Amino acid sequence: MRRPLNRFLLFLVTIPVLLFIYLPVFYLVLSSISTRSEILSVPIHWIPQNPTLKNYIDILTPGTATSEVARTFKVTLRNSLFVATSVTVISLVVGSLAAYALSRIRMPARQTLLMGIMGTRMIPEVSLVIPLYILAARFGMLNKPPVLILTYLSFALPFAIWLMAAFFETIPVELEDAALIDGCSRIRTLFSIILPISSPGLVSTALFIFLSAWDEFFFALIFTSTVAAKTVPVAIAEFTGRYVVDVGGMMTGGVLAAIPPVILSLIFSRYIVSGLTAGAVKG
Amino acid sequence: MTLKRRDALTGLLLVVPALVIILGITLQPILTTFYLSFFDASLSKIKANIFIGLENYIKLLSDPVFWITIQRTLYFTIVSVGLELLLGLGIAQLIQSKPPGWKFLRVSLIIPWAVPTIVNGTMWRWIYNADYGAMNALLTQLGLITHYQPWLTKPFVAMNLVILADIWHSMPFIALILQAALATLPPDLDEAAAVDGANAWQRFTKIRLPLLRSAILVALVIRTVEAFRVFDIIYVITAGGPAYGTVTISYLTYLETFSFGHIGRGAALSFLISAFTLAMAIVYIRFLYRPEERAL
Amino acid sequence: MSARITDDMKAGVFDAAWQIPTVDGKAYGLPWLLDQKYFFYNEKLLKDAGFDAPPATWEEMVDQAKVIKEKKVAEYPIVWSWGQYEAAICDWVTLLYGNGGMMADKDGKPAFNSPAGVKTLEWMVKTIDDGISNPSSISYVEEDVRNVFSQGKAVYAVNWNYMFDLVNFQKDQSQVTGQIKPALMPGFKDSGVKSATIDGSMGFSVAATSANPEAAWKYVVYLTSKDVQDRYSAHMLPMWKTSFEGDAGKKLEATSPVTAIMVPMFNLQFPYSVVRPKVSFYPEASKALQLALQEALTKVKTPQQALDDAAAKWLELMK
Repeated sequence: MRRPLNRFLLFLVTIPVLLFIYLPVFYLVLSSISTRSEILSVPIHWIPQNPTLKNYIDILTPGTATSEVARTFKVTLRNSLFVATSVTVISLVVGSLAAYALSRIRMPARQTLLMGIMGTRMIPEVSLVIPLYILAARFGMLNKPPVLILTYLSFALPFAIWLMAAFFETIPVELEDAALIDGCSRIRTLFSIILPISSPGLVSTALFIFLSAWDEFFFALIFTSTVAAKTVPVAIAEFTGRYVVDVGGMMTGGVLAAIPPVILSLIFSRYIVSGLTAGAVKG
Repeated sequence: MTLKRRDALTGLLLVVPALVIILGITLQPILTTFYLSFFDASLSKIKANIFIGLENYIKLLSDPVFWITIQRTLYFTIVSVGLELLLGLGIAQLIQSKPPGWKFLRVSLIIPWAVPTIVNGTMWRWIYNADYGAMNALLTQLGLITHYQPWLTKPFVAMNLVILADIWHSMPFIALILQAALATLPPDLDEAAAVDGANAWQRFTKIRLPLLRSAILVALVIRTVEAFRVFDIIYVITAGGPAYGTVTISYLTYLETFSFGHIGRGAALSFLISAFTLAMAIVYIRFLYRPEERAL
Repeated sequence: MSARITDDMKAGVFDAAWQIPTVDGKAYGLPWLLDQKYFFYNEKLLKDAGFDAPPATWEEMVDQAKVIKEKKVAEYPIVWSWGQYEAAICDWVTLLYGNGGMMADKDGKPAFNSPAGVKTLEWMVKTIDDGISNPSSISYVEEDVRNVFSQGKAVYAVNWNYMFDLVNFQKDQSQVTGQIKPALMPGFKDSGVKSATIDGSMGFSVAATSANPEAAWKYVVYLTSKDVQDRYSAHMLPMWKTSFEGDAGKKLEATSPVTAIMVPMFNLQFPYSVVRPKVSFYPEASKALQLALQEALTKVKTPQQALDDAAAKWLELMK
């Protein structure tokens, strides 16, 4: 970035983008600290006159909560964390092996395998859920975290493979060439060259897998029934009663549910470093 | 064994763990669903399933409601994904150019994506509300409208507002993937081109964009498949209304399978949806995938 | 299962409650908690417009509404749940029967596209056109009605039992606490029907294909037993007559200021409660009717045509 005018113009462009991102977030937080009565005000109270932390207190200090959902929210947060992390780690390990093979190694049926793997993702959950439920019941796995981990893996792996294959392909072939000529095995090349260089891609893929598992609602709803395995989206859905929707509770749940992924992306953001290939290849 | 053979074997071995997991879990359900699509089956199991061959498929393909729903779903998909791609690409490049505050921007991008879908849907339903919504409040205070509007009561407007809600939630995915891809590109290519006299726009379109092909392809395939199958956000914001104006093909499948209990027809719908999404994925791949350039 | 229903049960529960699980004279299960839609009005706003009493007929409501609009007490005096949900059918049944119409005739054939039905739908469309009904009603469900009512933006609202506590007694939830009262659901003057409302009670049955019918039945009996119901009915009312009579009745009324008002109201309104048709294809049929209402309200079809198309779909589903 050389010219200060350019930098200034770019800065101007970031403003509408940040507005676009944060205006709804602002409303989200606003609804979590306003009473129902206040959030219904016209004209709207952008700054609440009677802000309340009741929603947060209910969820974070279970003893005082008035609703069952709020009382058990922390447990569901733990469940979600466990499931999402497991799915992410396994997907990355298993997935990068497969992705490397499918993107770099000539082998029979490569195209078919890629398409086939993606193909399993095409069937809507609505139809798969019933046979999957019967299977899970038969193996006695209902309402236990592993059932969610396995189900999510079957969905996350195809995405992980496709995403990482794409990132691997952005790496110049010459780098690998050099290593292979030097006598490195495929596996060595994968671990010492490909993975480090594609770390931005790996982190992004990991983030995507984590968020997909974190956010998954449909299967979590059907496969879990008690706090032994319930995840955050299911807990949030329970703020909806037969008629009454506890919107304040739901928005609070949403704010809290968004925090772990944001923290994770903060932690791992320094691994998204650009220019690792600088100087590695001439010309 | 030849080197090439050993190579191929290594390749296959690397793929096997993934295949075992994926097929182990989804094969039986997929086959069961496929099997069920040839029957007149009901969720309540009141009567035994009756084999009817292709009748479910024929009935669906000759039903105008099916085709209108596909049309509507395509509209949703194309507008949603198209705008997400443009926005995502722009923001990715923006971050990559590192203007003041770029780190903050990159972390902020996660937030819309991190908000769970049901919360996202409920939040937008409240934002769009005609009597107490934040959008009406903002527009009125900015002087753009004089009276609160019942946005969600007009089918076309409702559809576009649902698209907006989806874009807000999903655009970060494309932005972050493309930004990561941009970060993986060697910077010297860019510098060399600059030295050769290419301006910023030319460097972007002629050098970076082509190299991003694989990343764009994957982002597009994933988002298109997801957008075509959108359900959660429709369910929460409009429940398919007004007057079926926001019913997408997944919502129709949900209605058939769970509301009406026709699991045979629901299964057939699922396979038709899969056929469509597979076709779209193939189209993308035809246009964007150049495997031979990259494999050794 | 009907064989298991004892005479005690039959006598102890409200006659009208048996409407829910009874088909063709046979009871297929037990009723559970009772509910119906009520006509709520904001007494303070009504007084501001110059009226001392709630309307007894829908026509009277419209007349009052015109004055309310004129005096700028409320822009849209009444708000409904006419969105594409089952809630719309509930409002529809309330209005249809209030106009002397029916959902199905004695042969089970659709009767909602009769002249009474068409007139009712036309009335609904007109109230939106005239700004009497809140235009967003077309996308609203019960909670939205409660929200608008709680803002003080509507003078009348039709909703279930649950709304009363929240809008009249909970300051955190509502800006109009202390101003709300229930009244008998109006009917249409010209039809001669005094009142009609939708029965939203629930019931339990045991599926014929159940693997454990004995256990299931025991559980159903437990859930519906007087004891359990008295203990757990919060926003819905129990079904045993004795829960409302004598000391038990007084206890029920005294549970809270809500029950003190709503229990007598329940007794007043329940005789006019109507159930929806009990047909095996109800979800699909209801969706067709929901679509018809939506199409008429969004002016895509005329009320006659929308209802006729829905009736055709019902006939098709009956085969």
